[in-house]
Amino acid sequence: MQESEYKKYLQLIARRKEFFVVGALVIMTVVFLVSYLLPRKYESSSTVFIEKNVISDLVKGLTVTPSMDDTINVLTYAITSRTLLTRVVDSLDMNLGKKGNEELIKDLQKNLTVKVKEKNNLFTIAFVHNDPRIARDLVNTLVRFYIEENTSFKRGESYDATKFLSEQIQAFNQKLQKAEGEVNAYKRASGGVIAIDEGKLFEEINVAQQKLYDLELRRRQLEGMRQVTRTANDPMQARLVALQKKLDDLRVQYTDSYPDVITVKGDIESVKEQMRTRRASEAQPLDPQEIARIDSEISALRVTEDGLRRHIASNRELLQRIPEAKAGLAKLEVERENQKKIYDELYSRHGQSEVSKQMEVQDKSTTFRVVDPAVLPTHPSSPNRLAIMLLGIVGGAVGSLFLLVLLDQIDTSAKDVEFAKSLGVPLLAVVPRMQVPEEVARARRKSKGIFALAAVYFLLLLVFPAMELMGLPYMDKALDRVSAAVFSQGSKGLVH
Amino acid sequence: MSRIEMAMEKAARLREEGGGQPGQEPPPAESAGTAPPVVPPAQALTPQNPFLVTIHEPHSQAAEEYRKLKSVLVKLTDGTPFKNALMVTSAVPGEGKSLTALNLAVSLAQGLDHTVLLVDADLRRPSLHRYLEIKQGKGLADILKGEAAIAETIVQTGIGKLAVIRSGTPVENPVELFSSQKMRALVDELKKRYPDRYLIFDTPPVLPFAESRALSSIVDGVVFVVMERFATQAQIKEAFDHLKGGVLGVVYNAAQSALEDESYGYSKYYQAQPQP
Repeated sequence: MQESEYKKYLQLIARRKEFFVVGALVIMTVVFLVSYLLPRKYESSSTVFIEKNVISDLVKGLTVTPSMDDTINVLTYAITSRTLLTRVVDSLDMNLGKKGNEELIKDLQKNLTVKVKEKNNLFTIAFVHNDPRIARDLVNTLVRFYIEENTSFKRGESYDATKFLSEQIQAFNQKLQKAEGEVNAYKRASGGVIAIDEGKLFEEINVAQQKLYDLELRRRQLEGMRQVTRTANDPMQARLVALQKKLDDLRVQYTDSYPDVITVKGDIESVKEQMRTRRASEAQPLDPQEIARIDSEISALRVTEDGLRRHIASNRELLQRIPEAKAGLAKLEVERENQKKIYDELYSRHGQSEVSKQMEVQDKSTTFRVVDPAVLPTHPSSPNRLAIMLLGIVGGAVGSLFLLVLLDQIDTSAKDVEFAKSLGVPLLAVVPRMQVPEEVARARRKSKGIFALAAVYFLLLLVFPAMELMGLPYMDKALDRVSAAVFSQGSKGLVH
Repeated sequence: MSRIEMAMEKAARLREEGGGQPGQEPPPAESAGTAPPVVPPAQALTPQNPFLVTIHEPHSQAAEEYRKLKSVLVKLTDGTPFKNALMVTSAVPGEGKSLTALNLAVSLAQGLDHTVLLVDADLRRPSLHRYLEIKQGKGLADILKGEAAIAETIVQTGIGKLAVIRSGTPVENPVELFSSQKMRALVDELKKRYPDRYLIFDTPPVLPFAESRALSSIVDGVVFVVMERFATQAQIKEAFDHLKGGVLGVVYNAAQSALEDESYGYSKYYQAQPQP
């Protein structure tokens, strides 16, 4: 089936080769013409490298640099943003004599392509326009504006950050000072209490207590001695004491019924009787000097005792007050510490931001480097004439064949013997086409002529794709001249 | 007219008399003109038309095809009664009727068995005399109008046993002539004159004119010529319908595809043969 189809087409072409060739050439010519008449569009593109400075790696952690990923992510939107495009349009005066930027900007957005190679931190901005100059200028202006805007934005950001930090630092400095002042005031207010060591105080109290006891003891003793001193000079007393002592000794060894014990007991009784009678009768002679000494000593002890007691009491009170005072101080100190911490943090950040700012100012952080600025495109990017022409050559052949097939389809005449066979009567003979040799020769000459012409014409046509291939702009220039001539003619016509 | 009638009556009588014995020679007195006289080779026609392949290129594929056509037709028409009256026509003008008729006639006449009388029945655009390169003269139209006797219209060509009746003087009303009873009588007479003679009528195309339709009912068979890529299939079918089944067969003419398909070297072989 396939083979017969193929054969059929071949036969079609063979039968009408001249038609086929001429048809193909006509189609080619038309396609070539169209390829030249299609509006030319020029594409200009610029490649920008988002450069990460060495410094930014060096000062990593020290500075706060804007994120690269974010920049890249929004790149496409940022570049095709209305504001940026409007600025570009304004600066290029593209909107002169045109109404409504909307349309223009939409058109620009449609013809703008931004390609980001994230791996290499490269991005390419391409723009298609029918004026190569505009294509180039637009891309360059756009890139310039974008970089400017980006840099100034980052700079501004850094400035803002630094400014904010300094403000905050000031605020926190004040807070810190206030907190410090509070702590100091508190310390001043309850300074003694805070400074005292609880343990020491406790020990001191204990020592004072002990001392008090000692003093009391001493005083008692003195008081007792005073009594004794009053009777020391009395021989009876002394005798009584001695007797008493003797009795005690005896009692150790003997019972009360022992005669010596009874004797001593009687002696004691008699002494006591004597003393009783004597006291009543006569005043005891005392040593006044001795007594005065003891008395003064006793009163001194009393004073000391009182002092100690007061001291102890005050210390006790102090001991109770210490925790409270310390807690208050701690609270204030924590507050101060917090403020200080924040302040310190802010201060160090401020230093970082200062570095960042300096980096931005000196363009030491990420910079956009235009690797490949847009240049004036010499060849239109569209239409792709070479492709169209090659397509035209193939299409010419195919189209011509198609035309042949179409004509063959339209032709409802008896095309082959099969039809004759289908009429229902015997096919008596198939007489081949008879040709007169001279006529055949003439036809052959004619077709040879046609083929030769066609070949020449085809070669001539091939010149155009060849020119496109070699990038010779002659045709464009010619077209420009023609269109310019037509334009001037038209304008002249308008003037007249 | 009267002479024709007389001749026809004669013919009818002859038929009645000789119907029983078909092989019998007709009396020579009756048909002085009809007896095929031997033409001396010097006077034989030498038409130059290159398409007369049966004369010029007897070994060509085309000539071969005409011979095939001849033999098929002989087979088809042989028998009793001998269906020797044939007409050649086509759907539209220019499909090669005359050449087919002529080549067929020559092919038949070159054989030993048959004499052939070729009649140019295309009164509108007669062409046989041009192909044969003879002058137009009294012919079919004159016979039908009764202005000429059959005998005086027959032209011996000297090409085999081929005789020709030209179309004759141009007429205004060929259809009437053809549909007249005279036509039928004429055909009958011509048919019956020689038992081994083929009558071949070259006619106008079927679609534009009515003559062929009229004639097709008179003759024994129609050879229908179809030229490749000429008339539309619808036209051919319509013409076919008009002929009402009288068609013996189709001659497919000017077959390009046949040339291509059968280019196995035959034609070249046969063409090359007579040259040396």
